[in-house]
Amino acid sequence: MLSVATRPMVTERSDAASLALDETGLRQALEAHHLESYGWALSCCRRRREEAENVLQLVYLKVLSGKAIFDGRSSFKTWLLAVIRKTAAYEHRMELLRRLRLNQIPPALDGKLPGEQSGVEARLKEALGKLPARQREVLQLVFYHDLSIVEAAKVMGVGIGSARTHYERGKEQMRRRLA
Amino acid sequence: MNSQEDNGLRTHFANLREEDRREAPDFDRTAAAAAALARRGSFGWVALAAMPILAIAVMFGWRTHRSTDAVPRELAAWTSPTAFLLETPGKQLLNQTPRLGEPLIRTLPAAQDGPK
Repeated sequence: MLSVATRPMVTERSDAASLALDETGLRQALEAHHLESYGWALSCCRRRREEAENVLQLVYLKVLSGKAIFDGRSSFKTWLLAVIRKTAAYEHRMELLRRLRLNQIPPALDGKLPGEQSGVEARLKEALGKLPARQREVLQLVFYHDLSIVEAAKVMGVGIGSARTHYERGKEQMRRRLA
Repeated sequence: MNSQEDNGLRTHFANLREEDRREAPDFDRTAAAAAALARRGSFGWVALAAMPILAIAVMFGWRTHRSTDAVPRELAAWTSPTAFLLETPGKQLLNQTPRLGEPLIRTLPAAQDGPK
């Protein structure tokens, strides 16, 4: 589940931790990271825009209603990206269950991406879409969101060594696919 | 992968980021939708909390309706359609205590009033 704390921790990142104290601060922080959040939600939802917007709404709801509490143990951005990732994963599981109940076969996740384009960016999207989830996540976090591998590991909820391995393998895969 | 290739990848991702930013929904719209979700969610919780109370109220009302006085009264007035079969001849003799020295037949009103 989400990282939930009863009171904010006092750390060296007190500027960020203080955001947890009032709703206005949280709202401002969410607004400041809105574009980044949307980009990450898109990545977590396999670039499906409607799903990404839905996930983002759910995340804002969790944060503003106090269901997900920022405890200041990492930067606000890292924490927010982790919340988005978990929410997207949960929503994806729910969607699969709904489809199974309705006897609908889920569409292949590694199929063609929506809004297919031509050119290098389309190739990048396609190559990213074909990567294993962990590799795609770590590359997106490092190259798109400018996080370090340590921060990416925190967002992904894996060890640093594991994140580093996914990072190297992901880059290798991308090099092959974009060559 | 060398740093040059890293930079190439970084450029691709930067272009992708720009593209996403152009298509990103407005923050206020997203926040408003989240607030609407919260309102809908809170209504759902209220409805969910009210459901057992409503169920208990309905059950209580139903039981109250069932336990009116009319039913026991009707039961008290009820007689079996075969009750007459229990009225056997000479039943009164069995209901009285006979006295010593008195003939049993005298105690019966029918015997006293009847022809000898």
